[in-house]
Amino acid sequence: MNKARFMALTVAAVLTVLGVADHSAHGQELTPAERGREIASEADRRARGFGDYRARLDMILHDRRGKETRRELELYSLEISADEERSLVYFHSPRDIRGTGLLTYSQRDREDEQWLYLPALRRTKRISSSGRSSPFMGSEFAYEDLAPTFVSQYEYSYVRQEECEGLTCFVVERYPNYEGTGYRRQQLWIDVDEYRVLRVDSWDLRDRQLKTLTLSAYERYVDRVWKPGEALMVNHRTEETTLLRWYDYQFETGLTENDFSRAALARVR
Amino acid sequence: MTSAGLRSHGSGESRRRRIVAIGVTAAGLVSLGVPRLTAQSLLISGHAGTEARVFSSAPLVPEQPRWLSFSAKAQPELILTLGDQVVVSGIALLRIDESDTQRSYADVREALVQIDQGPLLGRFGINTVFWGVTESRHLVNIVNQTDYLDDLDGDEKFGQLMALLSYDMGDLGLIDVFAMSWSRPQLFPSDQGRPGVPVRVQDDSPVYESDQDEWHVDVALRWSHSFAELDWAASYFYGTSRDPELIPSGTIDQPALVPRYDLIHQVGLELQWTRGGWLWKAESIVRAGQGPFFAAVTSGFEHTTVGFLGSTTDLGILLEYSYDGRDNLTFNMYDNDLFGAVRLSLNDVQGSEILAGVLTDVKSGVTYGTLEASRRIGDSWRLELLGRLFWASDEGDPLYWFRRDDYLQTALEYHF
Repeated sequence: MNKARFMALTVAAVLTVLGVADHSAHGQELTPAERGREIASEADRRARGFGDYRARLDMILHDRRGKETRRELELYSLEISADEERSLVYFHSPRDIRGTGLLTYSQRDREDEQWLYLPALRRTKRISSSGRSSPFMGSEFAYEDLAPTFVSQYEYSYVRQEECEGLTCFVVERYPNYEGTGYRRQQLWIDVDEYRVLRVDSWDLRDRQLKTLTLSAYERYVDRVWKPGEALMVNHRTEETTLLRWYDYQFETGLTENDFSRAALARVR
Repeated sequence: MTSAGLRSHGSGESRRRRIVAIGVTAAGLVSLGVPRLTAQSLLISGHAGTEARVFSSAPLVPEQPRWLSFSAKAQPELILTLGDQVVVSGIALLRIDESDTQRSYADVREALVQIDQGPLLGRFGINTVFWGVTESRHLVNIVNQTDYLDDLDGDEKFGQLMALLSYDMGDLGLIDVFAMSWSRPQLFPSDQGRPGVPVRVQDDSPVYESDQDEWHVDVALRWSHSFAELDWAASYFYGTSRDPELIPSGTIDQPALVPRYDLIHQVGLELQWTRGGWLWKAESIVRAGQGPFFAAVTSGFEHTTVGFLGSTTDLGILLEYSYDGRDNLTFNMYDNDLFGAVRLSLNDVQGSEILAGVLTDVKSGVTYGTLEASRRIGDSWRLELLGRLFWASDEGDPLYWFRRDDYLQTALEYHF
């Protein structure tokens, strides 16, 4: 190795080390897009690693006049990898659709694969997953509000840091880049200590504020994953609300891919 | 086929006795299972309701109801979960019809023991399975007999006695192996039933090709698979056909038709490609043993527009073409027909849905119109509106029999 080459490499190495040090010491030098993505990635990393879980879910709908409607669901979820998740939802009520099941395979950068099981006909139907902006069960939640999210589905922008629900939160804006979304942008409030999403505001495709989602009653499971106990969605346009209430969370229940097959979907249960 | 080869068997009375016997056996199975396993949960559910039909014209047959006809139905269901791996389930149907004695009947729709062993799933007893992807016709769906008495749409099925083993091969798909017996005959309306058949069909004394009559052991195999946007399945069936040929018999004064069930081999294919809002579908069968060898196909698409006109309503457009190569079957509505329909899903709290469509014979122009609309009322009630229209001026078309039978039906169901 000649001297000039050695000098050049040394200078490069020193500069690199300095550059790295400078970078980590002054995080604000990241662009807002990079900072936003970094926060979203960390929140995503912490929300994963649950392996599998099952839970019960009550959905309580209130229309403008305060009339209440309830639905009861049963959820199963399995992480295949950081990029792949499977879920199964069963409806216990309303009673005319009792036993109906929805099986979803979610994979990063791919359209979801979905099958609907209709017990009255004993029929399993592959359905289009393009209706991401459609209401789920007539509620204020769209399918895209409930589907698993992947960091690569959005562009991000860091907005600010502020107090929220007695905690300190990052406020991050995200812009969906997948097809069929009903949102132009969303603002997320993520607490700086545990990276839990506490609030999501959504704007429709014409950039009018549409909904506010508030997540609360977080609990920590299997010493690592935080899950909300409640989620309230308020539709500002219709003035209707939907409250989701999770209970009977069970983690590491030994669910396998067998429990998330089309055959499993059509089991009598 | 000589007359010696044809055997007539099974009066209505003996059929009813067999239904009762199967029901009692199923109940016995349930009660035997209870002491050995700890019941973890018992769920009793179901629905009951009434329906009223209003006809637009006077009937062809004077015995048929003139304008109005009422019926009531109850369908209790039971699911008993015994541990993690065993589920026992039962569904009974009871129907009373004001005008049609054939439509006043009871049936065991399901009496089933399901045993779950990881990738292997066994189901033993009376069961219903569904094969297929298309909407206007369920061509490959052969396992269960269709209950046209309940509804003309062909979605209601009689329970089929079977042993079914399903093996989930993961990336290689799913294999179902069936052994079946006690093939159920198709039932036809009585003279007073409307829509009805002007000729008496002797469905209580059908003729079977098999020496064992309806007790022939039928076998079937199905391999289904899903790979990204493509879902497909291949199936094979050997046994007593579910759709009979109707053989003229009786006298000139009292003409009648006798249903004949042949032993058939059928190979079926199903294909669906799902992309964005598009579902492209195809089903096809080839069948041997029922007259000359023939093929049939149904193929088309369903396209859904989400949030139609800025609303939360989804608009579906369906278009399907059906071809059927057999020419000797009395009921063949799908020989060369085009089906077009519109489906509206309102995505509201009441789960409101409307499907309106027409099935038109490309050559004769004979058209069958159908309307199905339903919505939930409160938490437990469902209101349904059905319309069936028959535009049939061609005497050679089976729908010609129903040319005066256009009707509108309202049904109210309570779910418990």
